[in-house]
Amino acid sequence: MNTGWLWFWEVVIVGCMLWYTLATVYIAIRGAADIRGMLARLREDYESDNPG
Amino acid sequence: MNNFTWIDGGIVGVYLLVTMIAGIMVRKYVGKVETFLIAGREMKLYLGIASLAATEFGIVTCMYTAENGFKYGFAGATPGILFALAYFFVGWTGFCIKPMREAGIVTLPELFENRFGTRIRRLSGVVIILSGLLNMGIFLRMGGDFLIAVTGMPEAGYRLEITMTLLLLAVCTYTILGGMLSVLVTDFLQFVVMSVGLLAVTAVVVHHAGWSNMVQAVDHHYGAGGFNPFANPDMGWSFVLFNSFVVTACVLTLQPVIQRVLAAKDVKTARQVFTRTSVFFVCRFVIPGLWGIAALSSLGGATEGVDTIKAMPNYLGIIVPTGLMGLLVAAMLAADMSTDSSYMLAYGSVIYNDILAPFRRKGISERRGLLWNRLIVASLGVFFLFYGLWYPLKGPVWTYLTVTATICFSSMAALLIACCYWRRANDWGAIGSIVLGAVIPITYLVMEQVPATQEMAAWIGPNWSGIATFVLSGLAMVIGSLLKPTHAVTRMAPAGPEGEI
Repeated sequence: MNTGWLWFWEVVIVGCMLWYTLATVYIAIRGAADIRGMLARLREDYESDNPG
Repeated sequence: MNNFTWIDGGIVGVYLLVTMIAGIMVRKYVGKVETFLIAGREMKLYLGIASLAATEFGIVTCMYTAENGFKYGFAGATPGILFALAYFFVGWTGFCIKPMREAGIVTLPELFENRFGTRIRRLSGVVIILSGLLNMGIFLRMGGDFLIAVTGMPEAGYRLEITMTLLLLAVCTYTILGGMLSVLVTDFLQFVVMSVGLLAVTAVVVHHAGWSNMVQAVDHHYGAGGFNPFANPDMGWSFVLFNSFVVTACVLTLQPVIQRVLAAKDVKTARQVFTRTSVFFVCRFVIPGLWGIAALSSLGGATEGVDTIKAMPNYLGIIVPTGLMGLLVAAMLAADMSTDSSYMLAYGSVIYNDILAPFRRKGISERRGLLWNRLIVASLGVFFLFYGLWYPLKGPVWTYLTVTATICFSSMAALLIACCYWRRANDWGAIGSIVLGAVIPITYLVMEQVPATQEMAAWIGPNWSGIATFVLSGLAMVIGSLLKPTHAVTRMAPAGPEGEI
């Protein structure tokens, strides 16, 4: 077994799991705000195109 | 014995209900074709990251990356590293995506029309659709196979067909109604569900299999080649080189990916979506790869005759406990639905925008345009259903996907780079690139299926066939462009400054 490559994959796997866990929480919060903003802007466009 | 119970069914049902409601609710904002296809270019950074990640992780991704883990060990995650590097590089430098986003286009062939003319726009559209349909054709079947294996449904009867049809109906309903807007909103929900499921199941898998057992299993079956891709007899330099070409071209030209660039609010957002999602592409290969390695370790020394593509779902069906099984199935459904909806919409946009353009009346109303787009998405859904049932997949799924994708990637990447950065590029080079880029991989696929040429196809191998396609397609662009008389090129070229669209 090549310990250098095993060490490489261990670092990659641990790094990925940590990044993915933190990113999921952060993106879940910020992404929800993005959706609200996007829908608000599209609602304004829709209402200006279809008055009344 | 399988652990899928009514509790898990309830979790999956709630997830499906919430997704469908969210996807259908936003349809009222879709009044224009531009909103249907690219969400009115209102996508911001974090929604873009969630959407790109969810789109590029489907059940088919999970199946082939797990198969890579099962067949090649840790080295099977090498394409994930290459993907991450490509996304980071393109996002960081803005290579091609900056001029692409600034051009204000809806599809890639539309960009090509500026430099290469209308004929190349149509031809590019056809090549993108041909490659995309062949590529996506197996998605539904992989999804059905996974769900049947993991839930322990008996394969007798028409369960695969029924599962695939129900999956497709759910996806088509919100995609047809809400287009890109529904896709973005459901992608976000699907990203959250998918990520929680992937992380939780990975923790259970590693705990169940044991890290040292997994490492020993890879060492026992594949030796150094299970860790080092260059030492693996089934991979080696040709695999790494071919995959480097494929992933870079995928990042630059895959329509579902660049649709996120084009839907982004501005160039800066598009670039940040790429750089900040890059690490996810390592996770995309590493996480299911670990599941595949755990399945390998559970079999001990006996892997002879094992169906490598189903080894992972069969293993998960046994070890994942009730409750978490529901989360796993919901996560995989989330992954699959986000991929299927995005791909149908992306390829539908090319059919509408580039292939059907000459047949459309001038000044078509927004309402009629929306109707056309919805009909196209529905037709694509029907095609995927029948193709998935009919095509007899041979060899590893990742190999099939890379070979079919090469039909489009090699020439589209050459056209895009030349279009953005080489003023001398013209339609002669573009035609040569498209023809060579399609003929070589299609010939290879046919050779694989015909008994008389199967041996030769195996001798050439998918990696060298793919490398030849990229190199020759790029050369055709250069040589063809240089062969065209300069006065004709001057007439064709747009008025923009050097290096710009």
